[in-house]
Amino acid sequence: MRGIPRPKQTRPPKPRPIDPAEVVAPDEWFARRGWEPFAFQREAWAAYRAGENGLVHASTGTGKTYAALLGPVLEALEEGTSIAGAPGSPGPPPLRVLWVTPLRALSADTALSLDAPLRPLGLNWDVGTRTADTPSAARTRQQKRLPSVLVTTPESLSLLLTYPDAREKFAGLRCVVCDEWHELFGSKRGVLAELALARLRTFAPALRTWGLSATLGNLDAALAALVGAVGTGRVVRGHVPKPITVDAVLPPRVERFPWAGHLGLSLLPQVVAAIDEGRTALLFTNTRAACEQWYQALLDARPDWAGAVALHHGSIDRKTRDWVEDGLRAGTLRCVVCTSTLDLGVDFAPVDRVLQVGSPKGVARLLQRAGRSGHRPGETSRVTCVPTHTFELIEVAAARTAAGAGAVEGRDPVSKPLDVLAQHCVSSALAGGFRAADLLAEVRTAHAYRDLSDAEWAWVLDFVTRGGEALKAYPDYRRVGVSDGLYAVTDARLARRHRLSIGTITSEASVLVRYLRGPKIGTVDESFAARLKPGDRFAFAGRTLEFVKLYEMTVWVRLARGEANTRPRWSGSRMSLSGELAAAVRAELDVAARGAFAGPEMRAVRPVLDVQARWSRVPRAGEVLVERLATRDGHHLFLYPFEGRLVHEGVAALAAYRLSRRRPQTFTLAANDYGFELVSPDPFELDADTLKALLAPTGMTDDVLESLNAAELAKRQFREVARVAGLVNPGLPHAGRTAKQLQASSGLFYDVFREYDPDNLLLWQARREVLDRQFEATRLRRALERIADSRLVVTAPPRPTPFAFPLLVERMRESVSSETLADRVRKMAAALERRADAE
Amino acid sequence: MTAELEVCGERLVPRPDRSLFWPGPGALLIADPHFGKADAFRAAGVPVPGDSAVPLARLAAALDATAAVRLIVLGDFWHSRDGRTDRVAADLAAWRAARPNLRIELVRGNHDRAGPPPDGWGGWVTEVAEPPFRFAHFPDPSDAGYTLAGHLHPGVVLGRERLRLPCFWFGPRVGVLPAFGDFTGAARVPARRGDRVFAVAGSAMVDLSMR
Repeated sequence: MRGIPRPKQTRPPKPRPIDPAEVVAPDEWFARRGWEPFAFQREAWAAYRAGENGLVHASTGTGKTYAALLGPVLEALEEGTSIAGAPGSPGPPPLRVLWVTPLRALSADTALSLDAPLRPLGLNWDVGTRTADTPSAARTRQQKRLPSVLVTTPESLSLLLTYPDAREKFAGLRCVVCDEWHELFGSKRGVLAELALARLRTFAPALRTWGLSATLGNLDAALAALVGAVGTGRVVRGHVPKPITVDAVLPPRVERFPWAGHLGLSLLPQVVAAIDEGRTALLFTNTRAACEQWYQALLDARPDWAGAVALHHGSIDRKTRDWVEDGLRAGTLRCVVCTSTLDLGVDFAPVDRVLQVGSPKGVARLLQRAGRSGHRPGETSRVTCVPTHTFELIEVAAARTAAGAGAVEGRDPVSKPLDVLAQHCVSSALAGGFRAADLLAEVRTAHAYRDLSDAEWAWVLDFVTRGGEALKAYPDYRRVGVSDGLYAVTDARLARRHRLSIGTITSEASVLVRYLRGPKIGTVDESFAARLKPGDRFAFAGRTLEFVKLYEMTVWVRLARGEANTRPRWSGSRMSLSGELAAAVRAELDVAARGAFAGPEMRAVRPVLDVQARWSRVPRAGEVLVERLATRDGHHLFLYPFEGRLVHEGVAALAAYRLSRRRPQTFTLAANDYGFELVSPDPFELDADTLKALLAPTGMTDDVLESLNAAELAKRQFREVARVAGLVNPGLPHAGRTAKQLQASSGLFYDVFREYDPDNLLLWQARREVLDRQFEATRLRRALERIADSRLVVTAPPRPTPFAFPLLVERMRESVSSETLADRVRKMAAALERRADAE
Repeated sequence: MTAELEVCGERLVPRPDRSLFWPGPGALLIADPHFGKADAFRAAGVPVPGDSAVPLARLAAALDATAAVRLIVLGDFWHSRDGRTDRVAADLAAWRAARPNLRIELVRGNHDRAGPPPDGWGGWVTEVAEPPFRFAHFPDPSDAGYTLAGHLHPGVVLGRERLRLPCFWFGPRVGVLPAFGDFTGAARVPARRGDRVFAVAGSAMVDLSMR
């Protein structure tokens, strides 16, 4: 977010005396707004008052906020010490409630809604925010005194905890609320929050912790992470989710040989009509590039919508995004084309239609997006999927079934990341220093570190003090100093640098896009910027821009006339189908394989599955389909586990590795959400039994690590580890030459550690993260186990089947430029269609 | 595999140790050693192992292998003031003292604001013109001759795994050497058709010229 101006901060309202006559009882306050407290809200209040911790889960816009806030509010009212107008009552009390939110952009809105009931109920509490956007004047005020209710982010909280007076400032804290905990849980940011919570419980032993979450498949694990060593808590099931309708825009004619990314825009007329029906629509896309493309297409189709259609994604300048969000709230926009940036956050009441372009990839994600519409009483939430290839229709049907059955994804917890712990140790050393045994005891109360071994702890301590084994030769080196058993940071420069680098968010190196004379527009990836030549025109933020020069990490542009001739790319991993949705897709196929086609989507996709069944097979439950085929390109093996792309990449790499170990052979791999393909120029014999042996789960981890140039992947993963552990500076604004001389890429660190300190635990962590994230190792193992228990059905279709076709395209995509790809694919698809018709 | 090329009628040998040998006058060229870089990081509390002993040994081996009588450093001898520690200066002075007959020319680079060269290494020069070549830090074309320079830390990115390797990059008027220092990165270069590019892949050279 560097270089982006800080938004205006709303100053806390000036306390003015409250007229006791205005004060109402909580039920009355709700009643005046036409609300009645829900049973789950009363349950949460009572549990809080009884000293319990807990996790409230409910869908967005159903009153989770007040379920958490009113507990401490009612407590204060009963104690009577903060009653406004009470005789001799001093100013607002010190910090009582801490509200941790993952989205700093939401903090101002959250503060407003937290403030709303306080004065009417007669409390003289003040509400403030503390995020990276907080201006220095407010920071200075907060240095003297924190407000009674503070809204903050995990990063800003960790930063506040590095100041030596933190213990005193947080001593009166009664309640921490972690908002959108499902966003934090299962990430390193969540672990950062867990460590902060552990620290807060040391400062304020009577502290109660509450979390607010959307529906998750593993709420118990989310609760465990939230409460840490306290161990117990209550899961409060919130208001029954609003009814949700999932449907799809059906293409007038279904392509029997679908390939990704091609169908979407052909449904533009139907999408325009859907937008036209409602008041305000959100059109979600899975990538920023698609977002730009759809925005342009909508405007081309309906020039009269200029000014009423807007664009919202993570690379667009914050100010512009704020403007779009205001427009959504005010109801002045007809449609906003957006990415996951609008998944979370406060409700935009006018939104009454949500469209999803491409596969939603997960059930929870689709529900979350659907929940962005229909906030008026009596309205249902509805999401309409716009398939970008035929098979996504199956995913829509599957998602509807899964949502109906409550099969929602969980998130895998992160286990003891040592980079976060290293950062926490330095932070703790700043906060007046720590004693090793005390900090270890505290850290182990955080759920993520409950199994931290003595050896791992010793390694991290050594790493933050001496720099670890590699720096044995440099006895002068110190990051954290030890004196009389107290670990502390004494160097002021070092302290400053650490505070600036707190956090776990790493983003791809990005450069600013800015008009030669004028404002910032947003950011693009550095790799895209590096490829631009003067005169290149690209579409960005809904405009066509001409590249002028790249200078000082800024792409300088001017408004261009004419069509764009290149398109910005943002890296970011392509999402993979979730386990729940994948299972639901397999179930839909099983039904179809038995000849039943229920629902409009499955009926629409029937011609495709008919060809698939005629040429090969549609797999039933308990079967895994394998197709063998020889073409001019070579000898193909297609395998369709229907487990999601990341898992398939792992299975494919494993199969290729084990095959080539038997006999040296080169394979080309391609994978998508449904299966994978291995191609070799030479024939290879494989019967079902051999194939099963090849995909056995035994020895999976070692073979996967061996099979892919694991070192290269781990090196890339090390970027994040190095940043969190404090090796690599985030780009600091205005840090000047000194900071520039301290910039080195994480790859360099990786190489230098591998050479001098191969046992560095951070290297091992990078490798583990590659397994977990790149290959979803847990899911990979489960997939292999399922394959082992399934019947492999091997067919030899006469030509590429509808299942195989997208994989052929996927592989070609690697080798040809996109234009010639489109032409080649069209020709191939036409040829296959003719064959299918001829039969 | 060894590589070589002809530039302006002169034979040049890019070496996998990231030095360039010019057999004519027996000169070995290196660019951007950034001595003391790891030390600068350590001074700022960032734990980076490594010191000048390794690159100095590599340089000595290159001189021995080529029997070069001259060493030309194309700038950024130092990394920064913080990294110019007594220990580094002493290592460099001792290395020099062991090779009294080696002729050394140091072109000054932008990082060399850090301070004067170590004892025995002489002083900075802005550039050296020695037809048909011109030795400089910044890779700008010049009428004074074919420029051999550093500054860019050129590299290539290969394959799906985006393997990043340092490289030598020879264009029509300017040739750029990879950074000699250990703890230095590589920036992808915009090579054009006709350019000669040699990547350093471990102990081998790979010719990636765009023909």
